Amino acid sequence: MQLIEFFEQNTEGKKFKLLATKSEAELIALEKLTASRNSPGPVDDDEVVFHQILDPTNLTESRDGLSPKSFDTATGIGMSVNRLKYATLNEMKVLGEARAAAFNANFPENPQPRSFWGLVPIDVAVVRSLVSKVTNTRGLFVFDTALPNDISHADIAQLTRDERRFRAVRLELYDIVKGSAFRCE
Amino acid sequence: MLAAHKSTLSTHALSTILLASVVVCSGATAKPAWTPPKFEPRQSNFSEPTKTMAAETNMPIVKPIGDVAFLSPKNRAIRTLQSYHPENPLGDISINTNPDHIEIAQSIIQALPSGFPIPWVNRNDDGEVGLYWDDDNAYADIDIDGEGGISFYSKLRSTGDENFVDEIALEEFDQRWISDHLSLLLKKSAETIA
Repeated sequence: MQLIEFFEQNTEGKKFKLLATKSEAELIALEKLTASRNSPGPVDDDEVVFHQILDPTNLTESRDGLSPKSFDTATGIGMSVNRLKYATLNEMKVLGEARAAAFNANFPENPQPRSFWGLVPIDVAVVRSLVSKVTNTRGLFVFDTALPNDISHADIAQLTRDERRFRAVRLELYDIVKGSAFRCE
Repeated sequence: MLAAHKSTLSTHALSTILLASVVVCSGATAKPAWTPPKFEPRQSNFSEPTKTMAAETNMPIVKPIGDVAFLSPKNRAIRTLQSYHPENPLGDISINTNPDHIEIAQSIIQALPSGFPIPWVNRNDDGEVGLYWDDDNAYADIDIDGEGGISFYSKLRSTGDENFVDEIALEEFDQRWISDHLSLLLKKSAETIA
């Protein structure tokens, strides 16, 4: 399968649910391929990526980080992150503010307008090292899904096929980022 | 169930982030554009004082002190759930949560005995509601999926022991179910801490 073509043909919806039908060996091989024509290259293990946090979506009730269900997106459309290798924190902040502004333009009457809250760093090597004790397979994969206006864009995808493993992987991802979110003002 | 590589960031990642923060913060303006990363542990709702929880049933929903209103944990959770209601005039119109699922979550919270820790409330971008408990030793969550199906997952962090139950009927959330699935988990946590 050509990964670039796959992502071009599945830009909307649950693209990673389609990938979840692949075997671990296939997914590891795909992860080493470029997923976007705009990408500077596949994401290396030694990279650090940042997830943008928008307020109020996905913030915990105590407003200090990401809630467990905010990671559900990793199963469907993917959890968007920016690669520090190709964007500064300031550039990520600008991207986050633009994302919030675009959302607010689509929902001008929304009583809960979005604003950029901050960032949370994620170690790619840690994400890729999570292995199920039961199946001895990985649950999370990282793809270089660069966008035309954002070459640093990547996705963390949770490619598990059953609900029990999904919940275990979600907790792992939640634990990885817990306490690491920081606000950008 | 997963081999845990600890959730902390690597030294390499941390130094990269801190360096990047310094670079961003070292602009010409007097006020830094960025605040440094915070690594304080989140407050746990497992350790909420029992006497506060037991007393909450006699408390008004909102207790104003000056211009600040404090909610009991249960009322805090109910208020958050109600903020998800599609007819809430102050709700987020971009996320559609089924009112029946809000009712289910509310019923589960109401089924918790007095003095029992109250879960945090959250939902995903598709509007699906969930409840979760979290502390250093134990984690548990209840998800209500798009069809209203209820599932439960828990993990005792000290041992890695997991429990997963799917297709739970709302009627099952009685004192026995709670005792079997949540109290034992909390008891283990307490024993481990002791």
